[in-house]
Amino acid sequence: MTIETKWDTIETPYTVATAPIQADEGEGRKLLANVNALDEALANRACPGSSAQTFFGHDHALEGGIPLIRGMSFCADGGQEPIIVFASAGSTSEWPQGAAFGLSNASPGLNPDGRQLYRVDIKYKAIQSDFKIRFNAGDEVNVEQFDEGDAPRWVACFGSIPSDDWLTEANGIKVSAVTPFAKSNPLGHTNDVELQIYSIVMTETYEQSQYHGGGKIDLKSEPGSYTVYSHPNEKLASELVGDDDSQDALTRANTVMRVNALYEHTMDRKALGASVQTLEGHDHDPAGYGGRAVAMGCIYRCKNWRLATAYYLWTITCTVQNVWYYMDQAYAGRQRRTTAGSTPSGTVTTHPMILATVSPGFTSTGNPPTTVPFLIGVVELRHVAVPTATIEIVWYNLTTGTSSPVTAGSGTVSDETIVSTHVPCSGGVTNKFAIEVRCTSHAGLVVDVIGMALFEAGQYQGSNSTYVASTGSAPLAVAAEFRKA
Amino acid sequence: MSGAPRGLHPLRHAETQIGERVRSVSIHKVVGTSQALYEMIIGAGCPGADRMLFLPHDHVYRGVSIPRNAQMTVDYGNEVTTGNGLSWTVGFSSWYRPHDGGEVVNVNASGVRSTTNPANFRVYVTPGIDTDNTAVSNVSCYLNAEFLVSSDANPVEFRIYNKTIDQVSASSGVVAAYTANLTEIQLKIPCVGGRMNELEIECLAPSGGGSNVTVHQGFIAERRYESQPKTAGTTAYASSTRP
Repeated sequence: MTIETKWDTIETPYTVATAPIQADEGEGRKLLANVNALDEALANRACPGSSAQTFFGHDHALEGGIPLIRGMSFCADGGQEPIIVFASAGSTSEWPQGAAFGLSNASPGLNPDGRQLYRVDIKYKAIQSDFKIRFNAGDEVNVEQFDEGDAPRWVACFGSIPSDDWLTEANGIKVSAVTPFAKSNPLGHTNDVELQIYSIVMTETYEQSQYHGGGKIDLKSEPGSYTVYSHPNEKLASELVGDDDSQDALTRANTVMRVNALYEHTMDRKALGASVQTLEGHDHDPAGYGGRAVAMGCIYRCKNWRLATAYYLWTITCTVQNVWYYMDQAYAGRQRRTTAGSTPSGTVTTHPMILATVSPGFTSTGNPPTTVPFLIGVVELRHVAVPTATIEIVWYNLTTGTSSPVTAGSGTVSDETIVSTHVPCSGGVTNKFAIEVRCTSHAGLVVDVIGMALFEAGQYQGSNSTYVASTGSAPLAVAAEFRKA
Repeated sequence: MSGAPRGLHPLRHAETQIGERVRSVSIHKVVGTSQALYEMIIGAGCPGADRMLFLPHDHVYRGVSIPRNAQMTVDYGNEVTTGNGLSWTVGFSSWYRPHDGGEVVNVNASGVRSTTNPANFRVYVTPGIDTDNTAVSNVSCYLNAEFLVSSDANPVEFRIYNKTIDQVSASSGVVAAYTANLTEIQLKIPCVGGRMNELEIECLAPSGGGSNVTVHQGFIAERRYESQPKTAGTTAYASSTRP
């Protein structure tokens, strides 16, 4: 028995109503191979009767399927305190944000034509002036000066989505005060002009971010009362229809059932003409619900740009060189979340610093994990007093009881971002994390934490795919949006 | 005539029964539908065609509306001081007291909320993930929120009000006063899909006097079990067998 999985286009002249029933280009055999190939690309399995999978299951990224919106790309919130304050001493020029957002998620392929946008919701207070806000070279949004006592308000703006990598550095927001500065302060008392930013949520939305490919025909509900079977698991072997032979009725029935099943599993709606939907639509939960796990990008983010002691998330003194400390270890009472001391003694915390939910299919193995799936962790630090100190980070997952590999910073800068790959995870549930830090080059180093993030991502700088590879060996096709010049 | 035929046709059992004659027109339907499916699955034009005809599945309006995981996360670090981070004071009361982003206002006796205070959080909800729909869990779709919280003096309860649809989550249950550890709470937030949802966090000190409460860290997320609309299909693809 030969199960073929390949794609041969069957051209119109061989299937039109006037074509001979016994076609002469092996159309019957090609059709079986085609629907076998579609089965693999959709369901991410070896097609029925085959011992090996030829085509990748589609992943809505570089291995098939159109680009997918993945929700939150970046988030930072200060509660009642601003996370950024743009203060003017009189300049009317644009104030670029001191530091960009840091790593955020950009779902690849979403912006092939330059027209898809992030939505960025900003909570702000405008003091003594109107302002203009801009994000990633998007349109300016005007915000009006507040009356005294006004609570912060939300405003939405839009900016372009980068298209070159999963983890990217968004340019951040840019702000300018409107001239003349202050409607209520026409004499030029500009020292109190401030735009306070309390919260930023950057999201890929269906309305602004989803790219629809080149298709034109949308589906509408179809009336249905015919007997239509949708069953995908009969073997469609090439021997069932010779190259120049006609297809027997049983094989044709099985082919029709497969095609109907592919339709239902793809679109989550009843097959055309059917009165009921038989099969579940695929949802990319690999635990038996159809298809391959897909990465959902940013699952945890925080940041504060106000670089003063009062605004750091935590400050930890690495009193002893080469000893691990939890980042919140210097605090007591409700200011601290972990419950153990430094960990070389083998004591691990029983309480987390961070809760984050992980997508189905992201359950790692090994301690630390050595292969996919895993998460990418990001920690943004300052150690200004000793800018040549070498810092190391470990992410400990309380849910799995395992840790990431030790990741070192550069040791040459005072502000650094340490990216840890292979952070362990358990899919479909809330994971609990704690982060440890040590200094290997000095004793008594003071480390300030200003931002952290966790990502499920396809790639970072061209490598580090974090989700499980398909057992196929090639994509059936890659959508044009993902093809790089 | 040339090119790859693509079209979606009813593929009726009546045309494929044993004894039924094979007709080119029925083969044409199968071929056309399979080549249309190529475009709907892969998101690329069918080989041999000069353009793509069908809109591919996007897991929003075409295909299962799948959850996008975290839609908002917060972390206030070491901040627990009332007036900073996300800390506020609740009094002994039968009323939930919302945190409003700068001021503390009681829900009044008739349960009417302030309409002027800004929401704590804005969360985009994927189209189709909507409390009017039934989720995989067989109850209404909702957002899943989990937070690390504390109360410095007395037991409290948290919940989240969705201003966009004027609905409120069930209570977190009683969070005991802090002794040695923060408390993890889970909330199920009613939601409407395809737009920003504005959310307000509220707290109640049901007994024993007032307390300073703090949200330390947490997330609001769409998850498969709680948020994903239930499919109308009844059989898993991999286990389906022909009659």
